[in-house]
Amino acid sequence: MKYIFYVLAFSLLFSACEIVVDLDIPKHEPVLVINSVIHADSVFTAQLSHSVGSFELNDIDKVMDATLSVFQNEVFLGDMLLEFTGMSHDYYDYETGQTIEGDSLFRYALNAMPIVGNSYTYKVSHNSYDDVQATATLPQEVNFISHEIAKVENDYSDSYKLNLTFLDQPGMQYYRLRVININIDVFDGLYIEPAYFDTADPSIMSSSVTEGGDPEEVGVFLHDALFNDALFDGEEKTISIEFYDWSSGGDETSSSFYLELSSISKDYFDYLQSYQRQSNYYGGELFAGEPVQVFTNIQNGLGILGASNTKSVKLILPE
Amino acid sequence: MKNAIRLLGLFLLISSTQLLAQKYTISGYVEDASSGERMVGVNVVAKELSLGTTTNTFGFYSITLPSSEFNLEMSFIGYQKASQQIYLKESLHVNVSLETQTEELDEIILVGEETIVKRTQSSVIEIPVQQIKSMPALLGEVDVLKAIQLLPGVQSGSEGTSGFYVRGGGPDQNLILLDGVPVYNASHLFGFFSVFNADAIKNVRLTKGGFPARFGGRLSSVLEIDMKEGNLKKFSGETSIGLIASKMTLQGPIVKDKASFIVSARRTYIDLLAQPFIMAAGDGSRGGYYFYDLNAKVNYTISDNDRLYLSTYTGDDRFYASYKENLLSGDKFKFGLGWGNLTSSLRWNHLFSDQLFNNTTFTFSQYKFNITASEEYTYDGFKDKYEFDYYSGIRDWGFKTDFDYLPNPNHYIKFGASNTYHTFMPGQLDLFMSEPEFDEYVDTSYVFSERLYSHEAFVYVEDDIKFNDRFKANIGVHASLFSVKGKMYPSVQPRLSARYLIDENWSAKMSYAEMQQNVHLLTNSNAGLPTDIWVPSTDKVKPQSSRQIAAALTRTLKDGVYELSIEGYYKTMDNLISYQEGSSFMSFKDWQETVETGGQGESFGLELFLQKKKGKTSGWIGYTLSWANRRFDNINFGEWYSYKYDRRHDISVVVSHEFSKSFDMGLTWVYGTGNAITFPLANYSPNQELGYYGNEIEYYGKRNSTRMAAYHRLDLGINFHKQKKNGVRTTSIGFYNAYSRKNPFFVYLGSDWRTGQKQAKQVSLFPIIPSITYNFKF
Repeated sequence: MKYIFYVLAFSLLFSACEIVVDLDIPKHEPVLVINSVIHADSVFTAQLSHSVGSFELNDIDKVMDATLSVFQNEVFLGDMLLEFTGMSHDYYDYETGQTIEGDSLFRYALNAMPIVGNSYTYKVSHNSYDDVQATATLPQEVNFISHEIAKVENDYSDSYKLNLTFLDQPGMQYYRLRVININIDVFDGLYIEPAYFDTADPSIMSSSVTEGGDPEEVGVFLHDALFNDALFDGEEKTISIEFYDWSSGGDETSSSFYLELSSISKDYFDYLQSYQRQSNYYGGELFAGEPVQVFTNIQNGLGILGASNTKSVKLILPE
Repeated sequence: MKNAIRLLGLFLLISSTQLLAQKYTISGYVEDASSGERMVGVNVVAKELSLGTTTNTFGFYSITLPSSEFNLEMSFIGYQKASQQIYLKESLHVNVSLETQTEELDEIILVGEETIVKRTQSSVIEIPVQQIKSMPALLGEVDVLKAIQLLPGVQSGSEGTSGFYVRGGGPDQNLILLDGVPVYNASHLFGFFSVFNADAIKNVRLTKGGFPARFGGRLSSVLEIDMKEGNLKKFSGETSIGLIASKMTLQGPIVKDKASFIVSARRTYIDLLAQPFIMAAGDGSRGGYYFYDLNAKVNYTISDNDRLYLSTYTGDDRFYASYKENLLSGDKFKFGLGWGNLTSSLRWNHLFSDQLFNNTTFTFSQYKFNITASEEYTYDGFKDKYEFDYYSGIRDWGFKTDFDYLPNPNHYIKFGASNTYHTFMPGQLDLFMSEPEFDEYVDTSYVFSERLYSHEAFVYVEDDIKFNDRFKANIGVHASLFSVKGKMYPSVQPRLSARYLIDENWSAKMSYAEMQQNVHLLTNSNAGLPTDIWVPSTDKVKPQSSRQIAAALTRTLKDGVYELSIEGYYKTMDNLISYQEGSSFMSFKDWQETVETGGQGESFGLELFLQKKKGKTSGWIGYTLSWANRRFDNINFGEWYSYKYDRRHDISVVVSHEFSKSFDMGLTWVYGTGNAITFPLANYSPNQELGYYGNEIEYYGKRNSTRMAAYHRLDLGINFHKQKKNGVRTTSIGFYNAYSRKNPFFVYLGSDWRTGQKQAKQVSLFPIIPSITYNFKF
């Protein structure tokens, strides 16, 4: 009886109680959200949507009736127009047991090509939201020198060691490194995803948000590496990674890999880095740290206007 | 700064010239007559001359007076006044024993020293341990740090935890000294209890500002906790049995009036009680959690001039779980989580002369945290084995020497030097793997952050100067040098406290202190978690520094029965550090790559403290109005934001009342503005180039821009005492959170599972928690 009393008392102590409360949070008026990355080899495109207050039931909707003007070095370049780009995938709703048709996809586009070193400003106006604007400058192309690839003998999966060398420009530069895996699956068709890789490169280790590490080989494990040139400003730089081909042995009919090294604007770097950190935030109060605020460079709004100059190389995988 | 040093030099010169005058010194020790323990802060007054002093931390006093005849009085609240007629024609050594005023149970009446009005220093509060023990406590576990949280200017952390935050400072900015040794993690059970066993403690004193020069190394407070010395007269003990823990304290003479000891131990026993139920499940599992503390101290009086103290504290938390599948396969799994402190100090009191007292201390302090896991599998006759051992910690070896020099009643000079050798172990993982069937073996150590070694040295001098009957000042300077991997951080920190006596019952005070902190705590939790890591300043991470100015008005009411103080302060802090957003000790990186540096802080506020120190009813009312802000270049986009423990209003009411010799009652009520949190205000779409990883982004607005609900709680405690043949029995019944307020522990964004409506959900920990404790003192 005594033991039962103690166990009950201890259980009572740790039986946390949860209630719904009215929290006095600062009021959030929905704002326009711009999502756009200016690519050196592509016309201007953008997605427009709006934010939704935390306690709202509304979905995040696309905004399709805004005026989006593009300025090059503060000179009007043109207005973006809304265009239909296709349908999203159908999906199966487990609650109703029905297949739901995919949504129509739209984007704003301006049929013009950006020029390296120029700055571009987007100005957006809409009847229901405050005007927003943002500026980004297209960075220089990466001066890619060489790459080498070798297969790593491994019992469990196919992996490849890749060394890439490039010449950094003087001044602070920001980079994004990915290995893109393109698969054509007999069931799902084409899908594209970044491959995971290990690296012990000090620049990547100090800037990227990682997804664990391999204690046997000091390094980090990730699929989207962000880094700057603080440790190799203006010098030739070689980065070594080991990436994994997890597609082999599946239902894919073909699989190919592309190395993408992008020189990106600082704002885009901050956005990607803070987004990765927010995604890795576990939440909860006692054991977690502070939640991460995602960077934005949109005045009066949210989202990102980034700029990226990407060098892409198809990787020929050795047998 | 230079002016402060010149001023100090001038007063030292004046004091030395006064030494040349024909005067004699009376010195000695004041002790408790029943236990022989030396008494701190006893008033020693030459009545006819209106001159006096107080005893120091080791019960020593010294007063130099002109040759004359006078009555020397020793007084301390709760004790009978001692008086001795002195005809001073030569220097005298007079040891005095003070008898308690009434029976032992009257200890509930607060003790005190010099009145708040007359003391030079402001921002200092002392809570008698007896008062702490009479307060109602969570699960009946008396907690020193939770009593500290009830003082004005001190904020608590999360619900139920024992972390404290002083005047807008962080949890690492409190120097917690147990018998002069720093304690690096003062928490048990993830912060719900502190490591200090009240049965082994003699004094608790908190300094929030106006730091005298002898203190350094932290920005916001110094909490001095002195262990009991052990009864020199007779053998005695105390034992208590509570809901979650039991305690036992024994003390007594080793050689009567010359040497004594005290040993006090505490252990929780939920694991022992739960073990039969776990074993009964019969699936091979075992598991549990416990913590224990052990305090021990011996002292030996070598002569009138020399005394030795050796004290130690060790305490650990252990969480363990194991599983063994069955006897045939022998598959095993073990997991352990442990953390704990070990502190030791050897102190030598030596009287060089009747005016020069010295205490030399050798210290050791260690805090360790580790997680271990091991697995064993038998497979086709092969035995696979995996072992994982992560640990971090800090270890200090220290030496300190302090001198008290009392040339005349107008000067009380303290000076000294210290050096501490720190070893920081921010994080290491040992990994062992054995897979004989694949011929795979790994035995390696993975050091996320290298061990760092540093020296932290300082010298100080301070003088408590009486300019005239109304004006006193404590002027000092603290000079420190921190060295790590060839990098030096010197610092000179001026300190000043002054008091002006308006009349016998009123005084005005002000203080200014500059502080430097060379060690930092990496924490991203709201409780004192064992994963918090101590790290040093390095070439990348500079020492933290602060400047604090405070002004106070103090007065006594009704012949000193009540003491009132109103104090305002303004504090600025530089070079604060914080984990980067989203980082934690689990980032598995060098800690220097996961922190934001160069942070700024500011805090200001007003504190009101009304304390009743005598009579059957005692206690205090504290109110704090405060602001605390932070700024880091890479947090909140470089803008100032409210600190997590920015609390606009904080109220505490603590009352004890003795109804009779056999029955007393305690009540505590606290109110605090809700903690500042960062809560999602909106959601929006990510850039589509993030691909299928693109979860919706949560928009938080400014850091800490949302407030949780206000915190308030009433605790009640009733103590029944009964004199038995061999001692006194006390039965305590307590009710924590007596009106079962659902106080916020944390709040998160959830949704109603039926409608999908987003909701703020608050998690509360403790409803009303009754407790009962049985105590026997013999």
